[in-house]
Amino acid sequence: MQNHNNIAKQPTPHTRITAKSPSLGASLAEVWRYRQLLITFAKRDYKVRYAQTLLGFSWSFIQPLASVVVLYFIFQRVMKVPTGNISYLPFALSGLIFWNYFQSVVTQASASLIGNQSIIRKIYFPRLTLPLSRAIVTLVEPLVAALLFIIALLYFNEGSWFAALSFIPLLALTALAALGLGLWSSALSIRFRDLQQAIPFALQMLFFATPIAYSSSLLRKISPANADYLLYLNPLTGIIETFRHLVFGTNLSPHVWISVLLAFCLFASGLIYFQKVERKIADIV
Amino acid sequence: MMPAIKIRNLSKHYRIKGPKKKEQFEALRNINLDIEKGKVTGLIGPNGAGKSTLLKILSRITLPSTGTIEIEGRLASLLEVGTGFNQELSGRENIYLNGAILGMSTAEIDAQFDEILAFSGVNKFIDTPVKHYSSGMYVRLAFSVAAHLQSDILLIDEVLAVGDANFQKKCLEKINEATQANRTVVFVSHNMSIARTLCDTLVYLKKGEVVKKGNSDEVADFYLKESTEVAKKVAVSDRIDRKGNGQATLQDLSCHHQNMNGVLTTGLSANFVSCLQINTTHQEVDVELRLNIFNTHGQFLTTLNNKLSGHLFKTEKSEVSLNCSIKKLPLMPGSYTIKAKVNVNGIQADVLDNAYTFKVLEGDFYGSKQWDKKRVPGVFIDQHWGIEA
Repeated sequence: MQNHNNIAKQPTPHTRITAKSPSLGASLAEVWRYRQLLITFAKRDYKVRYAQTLLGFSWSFIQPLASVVVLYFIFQRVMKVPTGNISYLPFALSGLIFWNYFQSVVTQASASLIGNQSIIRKIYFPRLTLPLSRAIVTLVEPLVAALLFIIALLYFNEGSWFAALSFIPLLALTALAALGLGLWSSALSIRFRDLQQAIPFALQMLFFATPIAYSSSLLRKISPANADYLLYLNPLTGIIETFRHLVFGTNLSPHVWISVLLAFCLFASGLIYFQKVERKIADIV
Repeated sequence: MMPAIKIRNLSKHYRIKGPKKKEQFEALRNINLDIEKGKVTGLIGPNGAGKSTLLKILSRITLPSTGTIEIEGRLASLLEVGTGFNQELSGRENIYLNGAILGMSTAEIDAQFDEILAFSGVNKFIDTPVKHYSSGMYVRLAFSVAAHLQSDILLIDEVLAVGDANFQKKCLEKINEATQANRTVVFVSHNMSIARTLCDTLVYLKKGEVVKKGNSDEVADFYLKESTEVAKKVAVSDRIDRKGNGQATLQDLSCHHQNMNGVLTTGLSANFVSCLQINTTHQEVDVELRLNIFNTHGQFLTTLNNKLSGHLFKTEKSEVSLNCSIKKLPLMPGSYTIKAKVNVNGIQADVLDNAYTFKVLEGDFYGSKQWDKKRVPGVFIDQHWGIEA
């Protein structure tokens, strides 16, 4: 409980405003102070998402299952893509856990500044909370997909459900990569709205270039020899390959570290760029 | 005493696209200003003076181009009521959302929830999505959250321009209540009479610079005088800052008592003369002239209106002169401005702010030889009294 009396007892904060943007450390400290807002934004987006829908939360289950069915018919029945001895349902889900989350975070974080222009122009709060809250609220999707995945493993009696828990650190890595891209594109979208048109298209291309519906060994087969490390410039390739290796014991390329490193680089650079333009956002949107 | 806000050499420029090349627009130029602790300071000035830009910089929405600001204490800003309200969420959820955006913690909102709810008066609908609210309810709820923001300094921009008169009064009281708790308030307003009654100090901004700062009556008088003087320098027929469809335009307006132009006396006769140009296609039109009279505080006092007083004019001429004579002028001594409106066939044809300024000298309206030393100029009403024991 806080009231006038308590406020009076607190030391009066001193704020200094100058033409310079605050440092990265100061910005992150500010986000921490506003953590309540982060949660509130996430709650808002979650509630609004299922407002006035008939099926509500069930959509979180329907979406990954429907994607698996589509992938099954195209890649398994029509194209007969080999998946080793693994049943197609757990195989596809093991990729979709990460892909769906990646796609949602990139798309939503990219639009988060433009979508909240009216607040940005009228109130100060750390702008970082907007894309960050998207990464939190969309966590529902991979959690549901992971649950379905573990159920599928038990049903088909394949892989190790215990090793499947490794999805947690790998999901964190996915979040870093997705947020990194999201931070870049949300900040750039303010000047170049074209990005909002390009992103869904680029993600669609990336979906086919990522070993989700097929295995990464297939991808390696068609890539030029000695250059297969280039495949790992797509962070999701490394993440999904590692996950399948841990769960199903499939091959693991020595190049996966490139994906890991890149995820960190994307996040760090995105953060630095975003915070550099943060205070100019209100002048441009 | 330390000022709550210390502004030094503050400038803000925007790069804008000019007709040929990129140009710089200076929204604020070298502002030096101290905002005193525990007082209500009003920012006034014409549109584009930089009032809102200054508030935006103070509330950290945008960075200044040069200069520094030192702020002592927790600052909350309210540049718009209901920012961040989500249509799909209920009133209750929006209280928490809006509170969090404004920088309140959940504990703070919890502690004040009942008070916020009572103040807003939307009790029954608190769990209904706000998209089903009337606009009045929406604004009331939004203001309630903001009014319960706990901060040492509060920045407000025009939020009082919304809601009905009753609610506006409540808002003013709430803000006054807040300042008694030693809260510093910075207030932007276009409504001169609200600014005058609410603020201790006024700052007059023009074209991004501070023109005058001081006691609110003094600055408000200065501002009104200056803005009417600007209007006076241009002849009525040359004015282009008009509204309306233009079917008729006011070409000239004046008033006189005997031979004195622009100077009238309380209780004596007065004549208002106007000249109108009407675009008619030789069809008879119905002409209505309305002269709204405002005092130096910018408060509306009364209107002179031919239609209202039962004088219907129909004409097919393209130029007419309308006369209004008053037998006994009921205005108290002071200076007045007229806002003129012309309607043709009931449709607004011309609106002109500050169309004319005139003075009223002291006179004995009731013939009672009693003089009233009232400072605020108002009107006299014919009155008859009785007493019974």
